[in-house]
Formats: sequence, structure tokens, C-alpha cells
Amino acid sequence: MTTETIELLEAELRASYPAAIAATDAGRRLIQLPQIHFPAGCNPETGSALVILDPTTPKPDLYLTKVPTLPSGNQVSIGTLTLAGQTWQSFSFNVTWEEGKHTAIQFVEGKLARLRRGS
Amino acid sequence: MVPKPLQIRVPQNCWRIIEHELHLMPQHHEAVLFALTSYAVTATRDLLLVREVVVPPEAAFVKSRSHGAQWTAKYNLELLNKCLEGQHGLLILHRHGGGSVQMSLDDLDSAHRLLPRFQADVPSRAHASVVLGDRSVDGLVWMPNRTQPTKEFQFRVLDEHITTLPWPLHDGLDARIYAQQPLADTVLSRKLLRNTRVVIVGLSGGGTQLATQFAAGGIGELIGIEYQRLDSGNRLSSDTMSWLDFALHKTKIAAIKRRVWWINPRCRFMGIVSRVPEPKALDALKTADIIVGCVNNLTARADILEIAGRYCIPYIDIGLTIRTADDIPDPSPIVAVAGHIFGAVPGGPCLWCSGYLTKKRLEAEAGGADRSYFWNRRNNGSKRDGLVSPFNGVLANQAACDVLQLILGYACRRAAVVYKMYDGFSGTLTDWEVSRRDDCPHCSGVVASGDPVWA
Repeated sequence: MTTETIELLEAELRASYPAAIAATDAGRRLIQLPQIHFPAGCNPETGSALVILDPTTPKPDLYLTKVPTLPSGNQVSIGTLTLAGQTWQSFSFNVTWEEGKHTAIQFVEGKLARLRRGS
Repeated sequence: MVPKPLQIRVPQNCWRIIEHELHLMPQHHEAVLFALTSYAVTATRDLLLVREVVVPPEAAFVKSRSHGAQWTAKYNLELLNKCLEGQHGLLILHRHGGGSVQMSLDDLDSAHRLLPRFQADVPSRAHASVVLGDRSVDGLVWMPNRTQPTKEFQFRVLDEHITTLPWPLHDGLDARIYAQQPLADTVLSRKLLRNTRVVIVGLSGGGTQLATQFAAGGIGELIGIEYQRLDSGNRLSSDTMSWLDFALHKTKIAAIKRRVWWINPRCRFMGIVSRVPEPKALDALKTADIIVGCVNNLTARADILEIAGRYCIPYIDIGLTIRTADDIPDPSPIVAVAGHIFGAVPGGPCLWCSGYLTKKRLEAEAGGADRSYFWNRRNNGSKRDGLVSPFNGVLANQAACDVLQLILGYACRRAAVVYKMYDGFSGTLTDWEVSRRDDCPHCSGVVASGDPVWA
């Protein structure tokens, strides 16, 4: 992603999530979204997310402090890792997203849509 | 609220520049260097971490008849812009001769004039002026959210070994013995060991044998990070547990805590029932003086290295694998007993520089972590136990030697050997030279980056 795209995506996220905070770390832009709403029926219903905007990768990445259980009660398979000195969780789901064509919100919502599925 | 102790940490690459430049004697003024710093808050200490050393050009200095050094307002502005751009703190470094140095009146005056201005513009970071001497340090540090500077701090250099100034109290005889024979039992060496907190990640074959070595050696604090209970396989991987521990199916932490106490009741052992990278484990890692990783997967190694590099903590990694033939169906014959000890000092070469950690290897491991000692390309993930205690012992004991080297600096200056390969067939450890890679994302992006500044 280009620097311009990263700036644009950050501005979009800050506009949609007024409580968002950002930091630069290891050459990447990290945007923390302190309260996002998961799809109805997930447990918990809200949580904190981290969007990583990395100039060396073609699209953003999303991590959660805790991946919720699905409305069906099932749990997606989770990867836990260290990012910027903190613990974050990820789940595998390939979102179709193209630089210059899609927005940051489409990415976040697209990724969270995985949590609507039953298993 | 009582402020936490503050420690300034200088990674190896930065220290080598500082050491070189401060010993150059410019003709017209005192040698002065600047460093851009990050900041971090851990459970036990606040940290000011040197990210980058800035060597001022000769043109930055004003010619004067005084002994000190004066630089131009324009250069101050350049430094301020660098600090603002990267949200860095500023550290001013210079050197005085002698065993017990103090900031001169000129040093104090210039720090008081300059650093509050930097603090006003970059309030989330600490700003400091420090004078280095022969085994002593003095200075002033403006901490975030505090108006008055503090003189209370330690200055830690991470190089072939760890040097933390000021030194613990000791007498002249001790100093003379220590200078020649750091392994001798002196008040100074005992205090250096007692003031050290080692975190061991993984208390199985290697980790348990390390814990007993550290307890016997007089390390003051041990933290063990482990979440498992003992099982029958652990009988074969370490000689430190008793039959009773196995009979009671104790947690590994409970078993090793008791063992450490029997060896040295003055060694404080704290167990963290967790696994890397869970929050409790990361919080404990951040408080370490030295981390030793005895884990069986690359993902955990990458996570430990991230924390070690970010907070400037030396990390020693050990690992053992029994390789079996790839081309013969299981059970195939053993073709190698291979191990390694990697000493990653922040600012020196790391596991990414050596190619031991790569994105490809991490991706290949996903889903197949926590493998057993027996491994081949067909059978990655087999859970067969093996008689590996003596091999683990070799690696653990060598890692204990490396920890002693970091604390006491007993070996004379070595070449850049950070990687030791172990061949269990021949019983040999071979040094492999690894160089720091300029394009290494860990070394250039993560080392000494501290806590991110969120805004």
C-alpha cells in the first residue's frame, strides 16, 4: 500500500470510529479501535480491534484483543501473536479488498462478517 | 505514588558508535553525541531506550575558547525536527575522564535550557543529558508528565556483556579481583548475580536444568513461564524432577520451584502459569534482565524475540531436534541429534538475521507447532518421547555459561559468534558467525522501539 492510501484509510477509520487512536511502529501504521461491534449473537458483543496498515503488504490486517464465540456457540480457529508489545488474536478469513477500490470500513466489516457464520 | 526506577538501555550497535565517537578527541571542543530514544513502562521499571545515535557534523559546533562544546541553534532545530518526526526523546551524551564523574555547571545549565523545550514538544518521551566516565555515570532526565528532572537512573550498556552503572557498592580489592577474574567469588560478582532477574520460557528438558544452574550460581530472581503439568515424557528430558513430582502429577512450575528452593532459598522463584504470547507471559518477559527461551516452536521464538528486542533484553534461545531419515517410513533411523544456542543481544544479529526465523518457516509451522523432539519432513508433529536429558543438559549448561558471560563478562572480547550449533553424535559445539543484516525488519524496526505512542 502506498503512503497516500495508508493516510486515506487512517482518516476513514478515524471518521467512522471517533475513539480510534493510532501509532507508528516498525514502519507500520497501527490503528486501534477501542470499541467495535461484532455481528449479533457473538459473545462478547463488542471488543477492541487493531488495524495494521503496512506499506509492504497489499492490504490491511485486522486483529482483536479477543475473538468472540460465534452466534452458534462455535469458535473460529484463532492465532495469538505479539504485536507492538501486546497480545492480539487473529482468525483466518480472506477478504476481497483492493487498494484504491475499496475502503477501510469495507475491509473491517468484511473481515468481521466471518463471525456471522455458524462454524 | 513512588516513581519506578528508571533505566537507560543502549543496544550493542548504538553503543559501538558511542564508544568510538566519544573517544575521538575533536580539536576545538568536547566530544558530544546525541541519541534518539523511545520509552517504555514495565511492571518494575521505566525504560529509556536508545534507538539511533546522531553524530553531529563539525559544522554544528560553535568555535569557542571554553573547554566544553556549544552547538548552533540551527542544529537544535534539526534535532527537534528529528524528535518530532519519529516521536523520539533526545539524549545528549558526553564523556569526562575519571572514576566518579559529575555533570559540570555548564552541563547542568545547558540541559536546563534545552531539554524542557524538547519535553514541551515531545511530552510522551523522556529527554536526558548524561555524562559518562570510567565505570560511572551522572546526568539529568526529564520524564514524561513530570516537571522536575531526576538524577536517579541506571545506565545499561548491552554489548559482549551487560554493564549497568552505577555498579553495586564494593571495595577496591573486590574491584581489582573482579577486573581480572570475574568468575571469582567476590562481593561484587555476588551482587551482580543477585541483582539479575532471568526469565525462563518453557520448563521442560532445557528450562528445568537451567533453573537449577541459575539457583546454584546465585541468580537473585528467576521467573518461569510454563503452563503444563509433568507427564511421563518429562522423565526422559530432564534429570531435575523427583519421582514424587511425577507421582503427584505436579505442575512443572510447582516442581521446579521446590527444587530451586532446596538448592538456594535466597533465589526468588516466581512461576507464571501462562504461555507466550498471553498477556501475563508478555508482562513477565518485559521485566527481565535476561530471557532464556526453551520452547519447541518458531512462533513462540518470534514472539519472545519481539519483546526482547523491543525492550532491549538479551535473549538466549536453545533448541534440540532428533532428525530421522526422511526417505524411510516411520520408525526411520536417527540421522542427527542437532541443537543450537543462539544469543541475541539487542543491536546485534538476531534470529531473523541468521535465517533461523523466516516468514516462510513460520507459515509452514502454522498448525504444526509444539512438535516433539523426533522430527522428519514426513512426520513433523509426532509425539514420541525420547531419551534427551543429557543432550538438553549440554545445551542448558552452555546457555547458563552464556548468561554468566552476559552478567559477569568473564570471556575476553570475542568475535561476533552468537550462534552455536550442537552435534550430539560427535558431542561438539561449533561457532557460526552471524552478521547483523541492515535490511532485517526486526533489527531496523523493532529493536529499542519501546511502547508505541498512541494518539
